[in-house]
Amino acid sequence: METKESIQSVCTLADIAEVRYLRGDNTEIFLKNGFPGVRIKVRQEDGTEKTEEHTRIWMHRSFPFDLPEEYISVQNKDQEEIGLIRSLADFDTAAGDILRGELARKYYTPRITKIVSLKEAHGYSFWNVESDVGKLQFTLQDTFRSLLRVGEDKIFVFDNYGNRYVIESLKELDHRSLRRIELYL
Amino acid sequence: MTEIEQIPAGVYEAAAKRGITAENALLAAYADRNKDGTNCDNWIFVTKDTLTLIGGIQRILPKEHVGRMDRRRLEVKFGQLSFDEYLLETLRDFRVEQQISGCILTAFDEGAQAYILITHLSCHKMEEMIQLCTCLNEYKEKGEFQPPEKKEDDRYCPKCGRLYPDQSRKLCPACMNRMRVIRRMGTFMMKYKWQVLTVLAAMTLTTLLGVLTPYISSGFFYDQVLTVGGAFYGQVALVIFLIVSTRLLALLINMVNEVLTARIVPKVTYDLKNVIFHSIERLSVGFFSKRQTGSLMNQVFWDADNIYWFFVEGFPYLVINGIQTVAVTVILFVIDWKLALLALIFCPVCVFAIVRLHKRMRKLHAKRYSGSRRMNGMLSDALGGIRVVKAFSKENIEIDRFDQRNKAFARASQNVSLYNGTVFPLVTFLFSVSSILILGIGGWRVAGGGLTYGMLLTFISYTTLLYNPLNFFVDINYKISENMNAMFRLMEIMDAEPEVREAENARTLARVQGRVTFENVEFGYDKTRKIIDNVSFDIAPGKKIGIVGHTGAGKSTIANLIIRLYDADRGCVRIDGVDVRELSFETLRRNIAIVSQETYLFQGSILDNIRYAVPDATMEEVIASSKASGAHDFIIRLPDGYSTMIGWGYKDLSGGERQRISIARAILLAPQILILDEATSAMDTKTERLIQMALEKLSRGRTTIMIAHRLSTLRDADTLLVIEHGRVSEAGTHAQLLEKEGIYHKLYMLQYEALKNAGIQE
Repeated sequence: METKESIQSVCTLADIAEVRYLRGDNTEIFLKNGFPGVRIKVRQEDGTEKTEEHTRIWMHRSFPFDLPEEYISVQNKDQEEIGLIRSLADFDTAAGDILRGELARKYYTPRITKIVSLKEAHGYSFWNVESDVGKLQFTLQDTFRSLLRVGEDKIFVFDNYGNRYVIESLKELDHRSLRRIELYL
Repeated sequence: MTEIEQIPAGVYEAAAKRGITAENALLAAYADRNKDGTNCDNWIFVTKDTLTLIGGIQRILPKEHVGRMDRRRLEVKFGQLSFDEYLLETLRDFRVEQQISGCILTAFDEGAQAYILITHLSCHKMEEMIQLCTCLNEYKEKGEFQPPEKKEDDRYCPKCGRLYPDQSRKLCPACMNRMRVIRRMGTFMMKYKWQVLTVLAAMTLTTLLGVLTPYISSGFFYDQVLTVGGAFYGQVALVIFLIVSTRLLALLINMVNEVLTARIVPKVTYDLKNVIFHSIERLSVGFFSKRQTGSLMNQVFWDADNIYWFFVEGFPYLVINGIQTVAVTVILFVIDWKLALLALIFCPVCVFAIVRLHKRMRKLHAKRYSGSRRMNGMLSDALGGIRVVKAFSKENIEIDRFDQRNKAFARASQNVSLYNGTVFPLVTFLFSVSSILILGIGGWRVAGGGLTYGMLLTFISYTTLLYNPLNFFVDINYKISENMNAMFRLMEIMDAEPEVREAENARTLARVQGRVTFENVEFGYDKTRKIIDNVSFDIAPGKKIGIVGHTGAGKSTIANLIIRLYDADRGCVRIDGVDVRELSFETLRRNIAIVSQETYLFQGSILDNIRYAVPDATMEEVIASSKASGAHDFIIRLPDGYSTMIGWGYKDLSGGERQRISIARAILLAPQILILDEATSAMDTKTERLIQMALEKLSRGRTTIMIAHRLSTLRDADTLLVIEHGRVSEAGTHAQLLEKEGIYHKLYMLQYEALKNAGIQE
């Protein structure tokens, strides 16, 4: 097989781009003042090990809709990437829970459970909804473009101030609520 | 105490229990979520030493107590749930961090040496919270409390209490009065009042003739002409003549009407589009970066057609149909009031049926419309990217994708046709049933002698005249609301205030010296992230400075601030010691030229493009500036030379060629301040070197600001500024910075190595 050999002789992707993956064995996760921080073991050129500490990290999902617990970018204050977490399963339960807690806070999105009223006027639509955090009132500009359908029946709603809401499942929505948004789907 | 958000009375009581009063509190703000992220009313008070959060639920007392929902100091009941107190002494660096939905307010805690979370909030309250943070950070820094500028609380619609969807325009779409919109547009359309009136008059006449015709052709014909003893018995020719002449008259008036409309329509739409384009052009760059420009224009031009429709057709037809309905109803009652009552009983049933059907129909149409939009979107995607599709041989996938969209569209179309074909005949049937009933009962009355046969026929023809207006009125509501949207959007654009405005008595400097000064400038495109953070520098007239930094460090933003595409959030940009906000646009545009990395060429000849800023430049000047920018050589090789048409739909130029033309454009203006923002990035090193030499000559005696990635181009600058994360981290000459062995040294060595490896010696 000629081709196989030639492939072997060229660089693989891993050689071209170096991605630092954080795992339980090279990274310690701790909680400080309610925010997660990391201590990473770094092997230096001379072979010795050193610890790199960040008292607070910022986390960002690479594939928020498809893989919420995988490929999570870990960043510092200036949004520079410290490393990537391939999967939260690479950490023990305690560390995983800290990370999950931070993700849950950052990605927290009110869940719409019922659409009480939806009025359209002059290109804006005015929503009155019930959510897991109580009654909410918000406005969308250009309703069609403010709804994002993910998968079969999950809908993200973006209001004109940049807040985000989610309808977890269209199927679980009551008939009246469904009727109100049907037109925009 | 300064209230960033007005405090209701109930909250005062709760705060007083914790020792916070109007006297000792310095500042009050409001967050709409609490520490756990749940919705609640979270009040934030700042006193001399503490930051206090009182969370709870406030309930506005029933409407009758406060009248209309007025957000001003209301009677609000406040039930306290949580209380947090922080010592300001231990906190610093207050900031609002954007989350996926909403924000969090954090601060650095000196004691724990870590950030703490103070509260969650939704994006609605982001602006106020940033105000609070800036104020607190300044208080910590200077030790002196400076309350934020008190702005009037006009962020809410006074009528419904909702936040305005767009704070730069205080318009509440939900409370927008229809009549006000129409009136406003009406004054705008007053220019055409004669045309509209003529159309209206012509239509009224046509309608009246239309209402008259059934009487002559049925009632009058049978009862007076064909019946023995009628006043015109036997004079068939006369009646035929009468009928033909009324028809002819109606035809004539109709033709006049059509001709008039045909003349007005293009004129009105032309005018409207002009007004819209004019309104858009005067807005600042910020307006466009928030919206998709293409869809904005489309929408607006489609709106122009819609608005025209309302004033030239919709409104007149509304009047006409109104007249027709009233006239026909009166006639029906005159002929036979009992039959008329019978006929009218059916009306509500029909209206109900029509309303229901139209609603369903609109939904089906909307589905078909979005289906066609998706299909077209996919189509232009696949055709626009045909090179990529072919290169990766993904034709089959694209075909499949198209098949899916096409199928969905076909299904939607089918639904529309099915509905049209099955349900609407039912409505027509409903109508015919009522006609038949009237015929039956009427026939019985004719037999009994209560009504003549002719009159019965007339009656039935009149009932059919009710059908059209009925249909019209059902649909008009929907159409009018569509139109209101169009008008509202137009008003929005007409009322939008440009963020960057020329000062009222702006100063015009005939000739600027070219001193450019930044004084503690801060700026961010969105509120939570500063792109430029406390930047200060001073460039003496005629000097050449280079700005260096990583991608996204804020280099181009500095250029945008100098030419005032945006205004600084804080601090001040000066030219010759004068704040740019006080200078006239004329002064800025005449004396500053920018060649940016995004070259934009307008549709037209190369000559026109080079002369864009100086339309009266001579051919010699144009050729000289093209020579200097290295554009001349390639232009002269084109078959049509300087007359070659470029831009959309014409000759495609390469990136380097486009850059050379835009440099020529700038050179021709010969401004006192020249900004080159990656102006030579798309050229090979040799061409770049040549242009550098020309620019070198041009920049003598002119202030030149060069932004570049390739450090070799900046070596001979008088000063180099190294920008990192929006701050000036190093400044000095090339030699000084190399000696310092800081960031510049690192960058330079990296590039130097790369060039050496590529075999290019500096």
